[in-house]
Amino acid sequence: MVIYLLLIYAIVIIIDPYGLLKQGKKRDFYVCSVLCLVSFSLAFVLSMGWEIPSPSSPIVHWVKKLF
Amino acid sequence: MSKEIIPAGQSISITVLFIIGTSLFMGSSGQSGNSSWIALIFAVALAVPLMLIYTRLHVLFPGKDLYDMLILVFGAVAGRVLSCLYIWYAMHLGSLVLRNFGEFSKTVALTSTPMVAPMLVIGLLCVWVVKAGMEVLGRSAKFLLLFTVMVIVVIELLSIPKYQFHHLLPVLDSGWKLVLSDTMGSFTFPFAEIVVFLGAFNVLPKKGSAAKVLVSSTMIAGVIILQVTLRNLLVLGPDILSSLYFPSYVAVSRINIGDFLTRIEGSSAIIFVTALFIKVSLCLYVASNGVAKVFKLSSYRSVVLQMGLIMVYLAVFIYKDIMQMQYFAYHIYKIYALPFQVAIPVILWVTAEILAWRRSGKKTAAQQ
Repeated sequence: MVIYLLLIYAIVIIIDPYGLLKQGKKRDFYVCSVLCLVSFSLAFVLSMGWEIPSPSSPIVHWVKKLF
Repeated sequence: MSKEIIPAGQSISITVLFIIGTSLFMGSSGQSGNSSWIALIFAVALAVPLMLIYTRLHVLFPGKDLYDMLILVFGAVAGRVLSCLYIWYAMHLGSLVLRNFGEFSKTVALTSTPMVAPMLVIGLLCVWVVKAGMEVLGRSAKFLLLFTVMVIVVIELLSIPKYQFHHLLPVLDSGWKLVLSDTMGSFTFPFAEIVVFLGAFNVLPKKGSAAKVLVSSTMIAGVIILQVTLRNLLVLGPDILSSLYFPSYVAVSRINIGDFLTRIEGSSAIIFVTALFIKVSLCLYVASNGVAKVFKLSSYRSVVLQMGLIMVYLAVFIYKDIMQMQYFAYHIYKIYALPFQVAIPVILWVTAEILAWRRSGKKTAAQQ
């Protein structure tokens, strides 16, 4: 699964951030690269079956604390 | 790239499908049992003044979206911080809707398929349409709304033999307290969620009437949701209704016309997917537009694919299970969403009115 993920993201990087760099959109390239890194990290963690803490739990905690 | 403008008819289609998106298969907040339809009417009545506030923002800032307004009114730093909150809200809402769809397909349709597969397919479709532009989304919404309304009307007609009117009685059996609690629930989910559309106000014509778009779409969506809620209530009854995760699907599965027209719930599920597709697409557009505005990018299209992928991954781990999803949607969301839907827009509106009043005062003084 991880190998497939690496292959898919290699294509994604060529199409998305690298495409922006080729068009000369430097600022877009930097932001897109950071987002690409975030999305790849999430995909990698999910494909490894590691647990990611849900953002809903702190929201539920705060709302319960308020009311 | 030329500025995208979509006509009022297409905007109405987008907003109607956006509002009815999740309610079509999740149903509305239903603690009040057979009086949930009363709560729904109150929720629509509460939503209309809020829509007028949103409309006023369009009049004060023609051609600007929510992010432009926040940066103009609160300054570069505070405006950007508030913009980040709205980017999070749009992303979170998109993920919640995708997860609803994932749970729906896992529970009733594709029980052996990993939940991420249908979510990824819909997510990539949304990425495609948002990359193509809001005009494409508007045209798709116009066609899909016609189709959705047609299917809902046909299902409604086919359900008539299954109606049991005693399910509506006694009216207000659960008391006003639960009705008011449900009003709050239905107001925040789904009606006031339209605050997300403020992030796409730049696609409305500068002189176009945002009031026409927002108020009429709230009314149309209100009628559709009321009709669906009443049908579910009349077919299933309040006790069964409150025990189901996807009541509309079960209500449609009860249709049986002469042992010939049966099991049409699979076909009716198509409308859930179409409405959900528009809702997720709008959330994705607004989140991407927000990132583009905060970081001063040349186009929102540069980040659509990555934002779409993050939205899908977020949907995978946002809830542990379907019970947590149901609890969040009906108990937590109505409080969590209020600052985004009411507090920040009202503060923005009041501040913008004061600024506009001061500006007009200065202009008059200069003329004298």
